[in-house]
Amino acid sequence: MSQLFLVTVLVVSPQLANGETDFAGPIKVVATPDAVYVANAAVGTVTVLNAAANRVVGSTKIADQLADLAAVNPTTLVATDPSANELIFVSINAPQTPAVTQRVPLAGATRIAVAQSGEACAVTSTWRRLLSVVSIKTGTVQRTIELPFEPLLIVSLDDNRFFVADAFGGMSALITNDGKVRQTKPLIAHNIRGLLVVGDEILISHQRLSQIARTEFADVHWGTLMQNVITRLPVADLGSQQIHPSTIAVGDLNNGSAEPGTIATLNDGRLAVVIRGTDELLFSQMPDRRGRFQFARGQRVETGTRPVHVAATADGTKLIVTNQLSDSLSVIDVPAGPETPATAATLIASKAKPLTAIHKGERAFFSGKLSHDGWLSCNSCHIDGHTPGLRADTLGDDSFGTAKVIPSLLGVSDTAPWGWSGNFQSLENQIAKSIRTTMHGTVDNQTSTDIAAYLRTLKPRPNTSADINAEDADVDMGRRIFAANDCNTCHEPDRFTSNRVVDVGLKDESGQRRFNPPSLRGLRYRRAFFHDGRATSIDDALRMHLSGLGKQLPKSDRQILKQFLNAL
Amino acid sequence: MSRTCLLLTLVCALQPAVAQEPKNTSAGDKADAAQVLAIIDSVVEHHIDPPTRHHLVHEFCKTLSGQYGLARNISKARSDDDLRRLIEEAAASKSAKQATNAITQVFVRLPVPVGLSSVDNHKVNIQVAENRYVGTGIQLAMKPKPVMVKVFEDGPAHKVGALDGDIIESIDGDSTDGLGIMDVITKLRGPAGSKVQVTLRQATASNSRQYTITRGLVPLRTIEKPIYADDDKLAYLKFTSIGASAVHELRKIASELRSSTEHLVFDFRDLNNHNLHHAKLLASALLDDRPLGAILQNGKVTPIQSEPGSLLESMQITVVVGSRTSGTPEWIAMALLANRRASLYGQATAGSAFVTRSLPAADGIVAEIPVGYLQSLKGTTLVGPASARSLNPTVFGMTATANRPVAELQQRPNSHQVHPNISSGGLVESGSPKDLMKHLAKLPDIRTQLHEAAAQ
Repeated sequence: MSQLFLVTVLVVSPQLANGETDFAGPIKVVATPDAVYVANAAVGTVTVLNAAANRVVGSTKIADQLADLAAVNPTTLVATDPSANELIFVSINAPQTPAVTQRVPLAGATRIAVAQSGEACAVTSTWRRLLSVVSIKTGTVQRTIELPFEPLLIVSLDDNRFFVADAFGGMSALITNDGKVRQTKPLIAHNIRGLLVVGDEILISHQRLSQIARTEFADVHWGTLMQNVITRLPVADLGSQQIHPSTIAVGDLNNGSAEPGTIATLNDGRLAVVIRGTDELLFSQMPDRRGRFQFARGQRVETGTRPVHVAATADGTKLIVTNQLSDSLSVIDVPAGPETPATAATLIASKAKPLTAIHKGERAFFSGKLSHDGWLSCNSCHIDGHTPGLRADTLGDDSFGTAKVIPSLLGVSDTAPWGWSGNFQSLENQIAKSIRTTMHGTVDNQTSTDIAAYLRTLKPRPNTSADINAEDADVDMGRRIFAANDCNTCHEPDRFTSNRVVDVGLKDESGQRRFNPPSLRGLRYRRAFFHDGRATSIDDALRMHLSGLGKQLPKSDRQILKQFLNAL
Repeated sequence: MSRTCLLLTLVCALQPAVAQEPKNTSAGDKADAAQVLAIIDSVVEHHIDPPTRHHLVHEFCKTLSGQYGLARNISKARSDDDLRRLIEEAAASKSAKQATNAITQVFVRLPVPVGLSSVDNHKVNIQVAENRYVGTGIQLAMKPKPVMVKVFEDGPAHKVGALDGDIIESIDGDSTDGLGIMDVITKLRGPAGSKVQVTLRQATASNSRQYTITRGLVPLRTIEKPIYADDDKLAYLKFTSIGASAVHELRKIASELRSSTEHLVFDFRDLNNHNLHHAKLLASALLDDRPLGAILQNGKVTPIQSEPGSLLESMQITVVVGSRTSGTPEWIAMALLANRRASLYGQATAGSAFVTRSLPAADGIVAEIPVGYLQSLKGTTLVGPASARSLNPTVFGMTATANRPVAELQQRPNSHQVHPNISSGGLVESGSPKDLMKHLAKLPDIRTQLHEAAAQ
């Protein structure tokens, strides 16, 4: 089995006045023949690593924060800073001293994919639901494409096409360089955190939530509620009506492997995948005669906390894993074959600041180890605090058979009481119940308090609509209609929710019709409305809600009201 | 050993809490009229097609006392006290155990029967359904010393090296000489994580081996390993139960099927299940975003839909059913057939496609009460005598129920001629997997013919 060596210290963070280092949050590795570059999300630095010697050779601050780093060619990297709304070109002519050469304004820039031609890159702006195609040569934004979902990961399929995946749910899109969305397609997936083109397939690592399973012990234990898988999607199927994906199980009985992340291919054809929730790197067996991969009996190597990315060095002899929440890298010697033990060295930040309750809560929120057999974490359903828009049949409402839409936790500090039935006056109690009855794990008071402290730091989903002006006359008129129809009795400004449960005129399967009104902030981006997601657009939601309450509203008023709701 | 014996032995051997008599039902206790009435009331309240309270009391008194001619007195009863008094009269000089047996018989004889179990037995049943036994993972027999007749793969005993046929010479240092099977079971069982030391010896070996077994979960196969035939084109899967692990097991099988396999035979002949949740999960795993039928419950029909995505999509499936196929397996087979996902083979099923719910019926007693009828896509129920309201593969469809003509999959008089051997019922009813496979493999072009029939 794996061996773990602590061999050296990696300082990836700026040193603070007291000698401690700030949390760096390494998130991405780019390996070139000359060096390995690590993007540190929280501090905006790029660390240069000599992987052969397991040694850090430099660190350069290029931004306030970083969301991605990619190689354009042997002498240029490109990075995104979502806080400064920039795409940043970085020269690595001098491999150990990266230098910024150009900053391109790009609102909300998150992830990057470089076209196989090397002439353009595509950049997702997650909250803005945009994808931009940027010329590598000139650094100009050539096209901006609107998407019907929040895009995150993206890969280049060839010189002309990109495949982009949903940040929260299972949507995907095929985009061409000319700015056309050729296809949007739902995948049976959520929490997509790995995309890799291998031969004629796209490998997509993700979780899969069954909406007919229940959060009872057996459904968790047997991996029926939450699967952790890699979907194999034939590139040739893209653009056609029928796609024929197949799946590789990553989680197995006793080893749920919550939240599979990035995937790497080994020289011998095996796969390696980081397991973000259980802090592991998994190796597959060699593919069988039908080309099928198995992870069940493959090697497992322990990493640091929250391993979010893995990449092979240029010669393929080592894998570098970035451990975002332990500020460390795991450098793993690639085992020569399935029977050879993998060895890992961990490079850690020195003198890191003591963890606060918020930091501890963040680690717990993202940890699959809190669940039975590591099948799921809090983040599995509340991805980065948000929602995939799916339904889950939990005991949150004290019954099974009444599946409810997973709520977003962004802005959760303002939305007491909690739970669709409003049955939790304490966020800590809601968290403890979810861990015990949904994840079938154990939790102490301190952990639920820490998680609550972390969740209270999450801001409401930003309204990034360029087409909505809150001062617009229609929006103002919509606000008046909202008030005139007593909508603000239950959706009180500015939180747009209230502290009580109300009869919404719509029943769940058990006959319950009193629910906790969700906040309306960010409503226009929601994919499922009401407790059971029965409406999928604001128009439908308004129609059903008014009908349920026995109210009438002229169509023209509904349209104006919608303008106001869109602006929230 | 039959499957039932195997399971019972297994449960007894593995569970810390074995089945016990319900409270107040030991042979020496007197029958409790109030408790009997409470059980009857619980059934009357929740049963999908409830018999009357008076009818049940009458049947109970008749069964317990062996007397006839009670109907007039019972029909005159107007109050709880009247009924309780009649029960007391019938139960005079009868023990609680006899009363429990009588009420159990009454419920079993109902057209849509009710099951009764002790709370402890019920817990065992749940663990059986959820496939999470705790124990050493062996099947035990006395020959005359205790023998591990089967050591379950991946179970705790298997992990330490125990072998099928191992004789258990001692447990925790105590010789097993002179022990009865329950003594051995008591010594072997214990909670998860606890340890037991055993000395084992193969019958032909002179040396014994010592192991320390840590009791834990024993995952059991509810879908047996595939048996291949016809150059691996055909794979036979015997389903022994439909529980919480079925989808997981099917996924595993799907990921390991041989490369040339094109056609699967699902053997549902010995399946008897009334758990809607597990049935929904299995049907959904085989049908991609399709309507599965509905459940009629509390006078309300609720459609059931599968989720997107399915296993074994490229495989043709034939489901083999028979008269012992009972409950949700009938409905699953029907859903697969109606969605053109599988063809059927075999004999008419039991006609018992109802689902049950476990409800506390009285102190220490849990009743498995039928609470809903499963329906086909067109609203047909499959509850009634075989061949009248059951799934009948010999006509590749369903016959009409007495009061609900079936619109879908109409009976086709000539369809039994699709293959003359389809009527070899004896083999289909009771043939071993190997016999059945031989039979299926002999049928010329069975894959094509069955699927053509299903597609009509």
